[in-house]
Amino acid sequence: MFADEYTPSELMAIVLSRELVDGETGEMGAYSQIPMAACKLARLTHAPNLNWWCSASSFLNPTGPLYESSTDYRNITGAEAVLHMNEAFFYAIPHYDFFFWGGIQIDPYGNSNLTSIGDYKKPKFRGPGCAALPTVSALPIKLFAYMNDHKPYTMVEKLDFLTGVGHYYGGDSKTKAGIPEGVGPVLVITPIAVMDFDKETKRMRLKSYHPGITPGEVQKNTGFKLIMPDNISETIPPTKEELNILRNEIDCFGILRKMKNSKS
Amino acid sequence: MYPKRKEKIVGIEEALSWITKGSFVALGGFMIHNHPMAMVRELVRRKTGDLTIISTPPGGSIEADMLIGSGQATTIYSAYCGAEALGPVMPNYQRKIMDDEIKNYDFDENTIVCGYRAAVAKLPCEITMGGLGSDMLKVNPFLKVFNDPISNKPLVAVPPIQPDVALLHAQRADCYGNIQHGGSVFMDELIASAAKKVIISVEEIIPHEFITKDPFKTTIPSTLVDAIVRIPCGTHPFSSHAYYIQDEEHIKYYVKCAKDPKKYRAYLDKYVYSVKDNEEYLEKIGGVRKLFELKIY
Repeated sequence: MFADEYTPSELMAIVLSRELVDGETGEMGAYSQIPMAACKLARLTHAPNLNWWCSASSFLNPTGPLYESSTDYRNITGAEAVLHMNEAFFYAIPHYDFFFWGGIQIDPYGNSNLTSIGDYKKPKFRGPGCAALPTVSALPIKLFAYMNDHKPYTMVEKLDFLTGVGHYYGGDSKTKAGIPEGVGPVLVITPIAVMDFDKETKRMRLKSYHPGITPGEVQKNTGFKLIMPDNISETIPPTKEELNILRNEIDCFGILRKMKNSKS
Repeated sequence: MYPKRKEKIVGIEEALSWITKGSFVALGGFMIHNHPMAMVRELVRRKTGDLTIISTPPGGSIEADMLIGSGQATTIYSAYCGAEALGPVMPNYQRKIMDDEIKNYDFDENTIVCGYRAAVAKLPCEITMGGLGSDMLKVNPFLKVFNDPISNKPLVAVPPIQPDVALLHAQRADCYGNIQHGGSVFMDELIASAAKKVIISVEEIIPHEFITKDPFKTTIPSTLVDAIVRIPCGTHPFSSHAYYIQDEEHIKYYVKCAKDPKKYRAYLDKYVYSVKDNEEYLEKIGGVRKLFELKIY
């Protein structure tokens, strides 16, 4: 019943799709091949009533093949509506159930950095900016993080720059900073593992390790101490059916098969 | 005889003469789509200098990077400068920030939208929760946290962002400046509402009757538009929504060249400085054959 061969990106898309809840509404940012594939797959498997806005192309529920760019016009195939983008932040995004995001660094509380590494004024590495993270992460909605690289320097105890708030510093730190309490980050998926967050401390814990990886290897590639609950298991691999739908109905151009990440 | 209505179609030189040393210029489009590249290349050739640019929220790309890399822009307001999978961070933008050779103000998409909205509404600020807890508020002096008198909770105030000139690219216009986008409008309508002068390059000029036949299709009304410049294929190497797709090969080639100052100078010489107009540029990037390849809708 399980597929024999798949790429880390295909696994990530399939695992993410299982987390999406029928009837909910959400969106992803740009550079989001994995979240787009996950939404498409969820609608064709367990969540036919899932609604998703295709990033800033602003198309609702595209059904055509997967493209590299979430803002590509070709995503219009099957779209039901177009969102007025300059009103999105005020009238649409606050009503979402979930949003996908990433970063160049993420910390144990699910805060993320997309902006700058090293001293902000004289950075060692400069990222693309803040994108939508500071606003989206301040909303009380479910956040799914996906990281193409799971390394000690991408999963760090302390961020060089806090672009997007996750669970901030745990406890009541969010309320104290005036950030609305809400769901916040629920899941972090990488090429080697799936993490979620401890309800008490709000720190990241290992949920499952992907086939072929050990919990020890996940910890070794993480720059902070992961909470290791007793019930850690192997990530359920893609089923033949899931992979079949993903490859034949969604990723017709093999974009996820060609994607580079730290495992491939 | 009725008086004649003013037409807004102008040549690229006239339109860009509104941009002078020190101007604050907004750029439209999004990520790897709809950026006004032909106008940007002409702006680079004009060597105006000392420009402050604001890349469209969030997705600035080569259009911002070229103005920075050629030395024309010395200040940037930006939420993102990259090319998605084709180049996650734009090289000149990245290098000049790392070497402290450009003044950079980090906003996020929403705070730029708020700034534009404040300008449109003629308000001293627009408010948002976006950014609370983020280091963006520590490094961007324009964004101020205050206590809202109604909830007594912190909020972020964003001052008006009003560019002197907006450079946008759309797909169709009539001679009076009514705009139809072929696909996504992105933030173009908002940018056009906020900027003092609005210049839009278009793929084609259509008869006024095509506009009046279906005014619901007008995405930016002529009231907001000061000049229309006809520039077919004016967004290359980016896509022009519904007309042609992005030239991924050329975007990757640009990113490769921009990583190396010597190669970048050669790139600018070949594709910008030694080129007279967009037609000549299009011949250099592969001419009709290349353009037909990109026309796959």
